Amino acid sequence: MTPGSDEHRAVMTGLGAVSCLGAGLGGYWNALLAGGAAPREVDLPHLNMRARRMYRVPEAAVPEHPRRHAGVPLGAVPRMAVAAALEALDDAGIEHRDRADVPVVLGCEMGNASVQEERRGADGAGHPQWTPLAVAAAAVGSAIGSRRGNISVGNACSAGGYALGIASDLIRSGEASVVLVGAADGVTRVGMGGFDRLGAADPHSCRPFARDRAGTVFGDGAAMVVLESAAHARLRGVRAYAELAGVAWSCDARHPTAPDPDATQLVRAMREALADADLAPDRVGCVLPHATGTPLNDAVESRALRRVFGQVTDRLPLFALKAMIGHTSAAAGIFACLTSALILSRARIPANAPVEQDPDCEVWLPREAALRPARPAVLVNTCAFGGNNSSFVLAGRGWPA
Amino acid sequence: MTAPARMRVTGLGVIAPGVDRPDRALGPRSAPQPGWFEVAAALPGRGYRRLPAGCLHLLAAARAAVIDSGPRFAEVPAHRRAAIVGTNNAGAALIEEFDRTIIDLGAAELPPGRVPYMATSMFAARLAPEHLLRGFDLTTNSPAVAGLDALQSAARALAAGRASVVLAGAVEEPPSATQRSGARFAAAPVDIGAAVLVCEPEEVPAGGAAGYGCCSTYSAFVPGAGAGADPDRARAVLAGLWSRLADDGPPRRIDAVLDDSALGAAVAAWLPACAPDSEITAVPAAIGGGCLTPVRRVAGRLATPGGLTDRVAVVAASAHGHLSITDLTPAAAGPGHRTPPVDDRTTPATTKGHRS
Repeated sequence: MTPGSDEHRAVMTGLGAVSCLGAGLGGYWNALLAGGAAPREVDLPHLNMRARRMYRVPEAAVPEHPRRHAGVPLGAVPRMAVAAALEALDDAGIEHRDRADVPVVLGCEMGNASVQEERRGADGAGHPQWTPLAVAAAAVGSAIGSRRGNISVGNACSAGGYALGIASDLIRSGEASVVLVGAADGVTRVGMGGFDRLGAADPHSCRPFARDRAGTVFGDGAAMVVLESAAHARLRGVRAYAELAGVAWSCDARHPTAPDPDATQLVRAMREALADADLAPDRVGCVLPHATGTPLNDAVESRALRRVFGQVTDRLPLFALKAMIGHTSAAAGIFACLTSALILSRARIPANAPVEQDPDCEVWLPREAALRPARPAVLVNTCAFGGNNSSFVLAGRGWPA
Repeated sequence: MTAPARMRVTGLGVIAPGVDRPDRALGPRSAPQPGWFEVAAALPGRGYRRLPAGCLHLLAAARAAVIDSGPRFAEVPAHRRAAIVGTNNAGAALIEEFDRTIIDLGAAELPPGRVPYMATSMFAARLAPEHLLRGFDLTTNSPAVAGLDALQSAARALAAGRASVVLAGAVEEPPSATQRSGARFAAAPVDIGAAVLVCEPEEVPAGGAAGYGCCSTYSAFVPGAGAGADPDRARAVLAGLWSRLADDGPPRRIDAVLDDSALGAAVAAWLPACAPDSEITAVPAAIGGGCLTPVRRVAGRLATPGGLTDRVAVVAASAHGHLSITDLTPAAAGPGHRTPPVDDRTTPATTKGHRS
C-alpha cells in the first residue's frame, strides 16, 4: 500500500462500543479483564434450530433512539451504531461544530434485517415490505451531522477490516483529516439458522482453539473508532490510543465458506500488513486472531500464524476475543481493533478464557493472568465467507522504535 | 481536501432485461421477459446451475467486461486483481425464503448450497474464484449510491496501490412480490441485472490501453431525519460538492438518477441552477434503494457510439441522505483508445454474455 507521510499517519483518538459487556468503553475493558460474558438463549420466536445461543447486548444497553431514518424503522443495530459513534466522537473530543467534516465508513452485513424478521410477528405470518438492510451508516451520519461521504461496506465477517482499510486510505491520501469508522451487526434468525445449517454453530459457547470446539456463537453489538491524521491530532493536542500502522486485504478466491487449508492468502495479508506498517514480525507483542471457534478456521489460522512468526509463535501471546463477546460478525474486526488499542494504551493483555487447548492449534493462549505486552505492535486478523481476509497492525504510541 | 482519485475504464459489460451491450445501457429499464437471460449462452461451463439469478447476471457482466478489456486483464497477477461491487437488494427474496423455511420447517431444511447467499456480499464474492481475484473482494451497500460508491472505492484502492485492476460495478435483484407489496412499491420500476467496469490506474502504462475514458466519484451526505427535507441544507451540501467537481468547468451533460424523496426533489430543483449550460437528463431511480441504474448510465455514457467526446456527470441521491456524482472524462486519443461501434441493433434479444 502507498505509505502515508508522517503527517498523514492514521492514529486512533476515540473509541466507542455497545456489546454484550454493556454500553461504553470503561465497562467493556473491565469486563474483558474479568473474563467476559457468557452466551444465553435468544428469545426470538420460531428459532427452529439446534444452536440457539448468542452473546447478547443487555436490553438496557440498547438505546431507544433513533427509531426511524428516512422512513425506515431502525432496529437495534443502527441504534447501537449511533450510540457507539457518539461515544467515540466524544472520547476523541471532536466538537459538534466539527462533525460535519467527518466522513463515515461503516461495516454492516445483515444490519437492519432484524426489523423484517420482527414484522413476521409472533405467529410468523407477517409479510413485511422490503427496506434496505444497510442503513446504519446513514443513521450514524445523520446523528452526528456529517456532510461528508458516507460509505457502507458489507464484507460479512471481515467487513470491519475492510472499513478500516478504506478509512486508512482516506487519511493517508489527505482526503480527510478525521474519519469515523466502525461496524455493527445484530441478531437475526436467518443468520443463526444459516450457520446452524452449515454445521458452523456451537450450541454451547464460543471456544476458540479448544479441543472440543464445535463452531462459532454470534454476538451482537457496535464498535466505532475515530481515526485521525497524526498532524490533525497534534494540532488539537489530543492523545492517541495507537496508530493504525498497516492494513492489507486478500482473497482466497477458492471456496464460498471454507478457508483455504494452506492459508496462502491469509499469510500474505498478515505479511503485507506488517510490511505496510514497516514492522518486522518480531515487533509484534500480541495477536488478536480471527479465531471463531470453528474447527477448521482455528487450525488453519494457527498454521498461518506459525508461517508468519516461526518459532516466535511459541512466545507470542494471542488474545481470543470471541470467547468473551462472541463472534460479532461484521463488527468483529472493529471490536478487535478497539480492544487492541486498549491493550496498547493500557499495556495489558487480558487473560484468555480457560479452555483445554487443541494440540493441533500450536499457539500460545495465556490463561493465568493478564500480561504486559513485550513489544509495541498488535496484529489483528479478520476472515469471512467468500475467502475474504483482512489483517491490520496497530502500533503503540510512545514505544521505543 | 484533496480531489478524489481517478481511474481509467478499459472494459465494459452490462446484463439487464433488454440490454446485452453497454452501448444499449442508456435505454429504459425493461420488464424481464421469459428467457431474457440464457445461462448456458452467457456462462458456458459447469457450476452455475444452482447460483442465484443476480449472481449469474454479475458473472455474465464481468465476463463480458473482461473479454472486452482484451488480453491485459489476464496478464495481471492474481494477487493484483480485485473486485468492488455495490448492491442493496441482491438476496432480498432469498433472505425472505430462508426465514420462511426456518419458521415453517426448521433450519435443517435450508438448502446448504444457497445458504451463504444470506450474506449479500456473497454475490460479489463469487467473482473471485471465477476470475482468480486474490487481491481482494469488496461489497458496498449504501442505498441507491452503492454502485457509484463501488466506483469511488475502486479508484481509491487503485490509487492506494491495493490492486492493479479492479472489476467495479453493481448488481441488483428485485425483492419478492411479497416484499414489494403495497401500492407504491408494487408498480414501481426495480433494478435487475448487473454492470461491470474493468478499472485500471489513471496513468496509461507504456503499451497500455487508453480505454473508454476516466472517471472519479465525489460524494457527500445530507444529514437529517428526512434527508433533504431542509432544502437549504441540501442545497448547501450539493453546492459544496458541485464547486469541487466543477472547479475546472461544468460537465457538458448530466444524468440525474433521482427518486421522489425530499433529497431527490431538492437535487432535481437545484441542478439546473448550478449547471445552466449543461444538458440534464432526468432518469427515474429504481425503487427500493437499487443502485444499478447509475452504473448503467456510467457504462452507457462511456460506451457512447463513436466514443465519449464530452465530460459527463452521473448524479445519484438516496432518500437516506447520500449524494454521489461520478465524473466521466474522455480518454486521450491514441493507441488503445476505445471507440465503441455504432449500435446497429443486429444482435438477438437474448444476451450472449459478451459484446458482439
